[in-house]
Amino acid sequence: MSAIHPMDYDIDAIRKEWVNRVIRTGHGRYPVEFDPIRRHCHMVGDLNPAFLDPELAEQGPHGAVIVPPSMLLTYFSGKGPWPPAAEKTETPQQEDTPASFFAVPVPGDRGINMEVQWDFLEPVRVGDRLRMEMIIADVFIKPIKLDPYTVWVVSETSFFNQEDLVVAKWRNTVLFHRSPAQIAEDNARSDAQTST
Amino acid sequence: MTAINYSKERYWDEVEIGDRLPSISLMLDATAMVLQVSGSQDWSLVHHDLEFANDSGIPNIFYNTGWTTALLGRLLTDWMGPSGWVQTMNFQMRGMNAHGTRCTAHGTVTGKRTESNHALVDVEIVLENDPGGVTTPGTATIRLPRK
Repeated sequence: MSAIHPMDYDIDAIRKEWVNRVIRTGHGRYPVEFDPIRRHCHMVGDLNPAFLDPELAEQGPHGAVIVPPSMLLTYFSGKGPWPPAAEKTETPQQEDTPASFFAVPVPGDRGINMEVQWDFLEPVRVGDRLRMEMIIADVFIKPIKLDPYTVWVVSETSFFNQEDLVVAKWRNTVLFHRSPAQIAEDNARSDAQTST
Repeated sequence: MTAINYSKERYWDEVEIGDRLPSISLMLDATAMVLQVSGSQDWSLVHHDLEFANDSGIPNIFYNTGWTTALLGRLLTDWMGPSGWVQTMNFQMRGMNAHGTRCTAHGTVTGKRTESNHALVDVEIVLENDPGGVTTPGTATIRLPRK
């Protein structure tokens, strides 16, 4: 069965409670480092010396190796080098409280990212210390083929450097759906309640 | 494949609407899958565990947002030269780049403008999958130096 049965899910109450709320703040556990940049680049065959070669990068416009614009998400990746314990979640989850990884309660526990919007404002260099702040911008229900009761969560994250300068902004839309087995169990409960 | 000259500047004045960015094509094989997990540090099971993907109603492992962002980012940074700056990048994940397929990143210049003393180029970006077609359409704006 899903974490919250759709019959028990009040989208208006959820929106009222969560939209515009800061749900997560986090500091990078380590400064920006060379080797995670290398791994990020090699994932897609990127050989750009601006990201990989300290000597050449020193002569470039930024005076040092910078992170590829695509890498900030990785730096704060929730399940990798920055486990949740390293972050401060404003609304700690109780063990029995179902939630998405954005803390917003949702019926489904299968997340798929759908849309990404980035503004890159300042270069991030090796040695910088970053922090992030995430708010919930929107929550709504929109069916997909896999699940007629799919909840979409839109978040907005600002990334700051050690001088408190916003280096990037990220708006992300992710949907949470139920597995086919969860949907079948939920439907069985709905049917049972309808027939009584 | 032509070697990329990373030290060569690309000037706004020389860019034409309709210019195509050199495409990048990657085979999404077993090595690419583990590089995806290592490089993105996204350990969500749906991106590397076929059984979990199937249990979610999804027929195959598909590549994650970090990987998608990195590939589209590389498309732009390979082309823009050392003084270029990716100002914005937006994309929608309308289809999945599934394990075992080939994925190609394309880009085309769609506009040139100046704004707040910045010389900007708008680029349509896309990930195309063989055999899935366009999976990830998007746009980006790049700041370039002037001559």
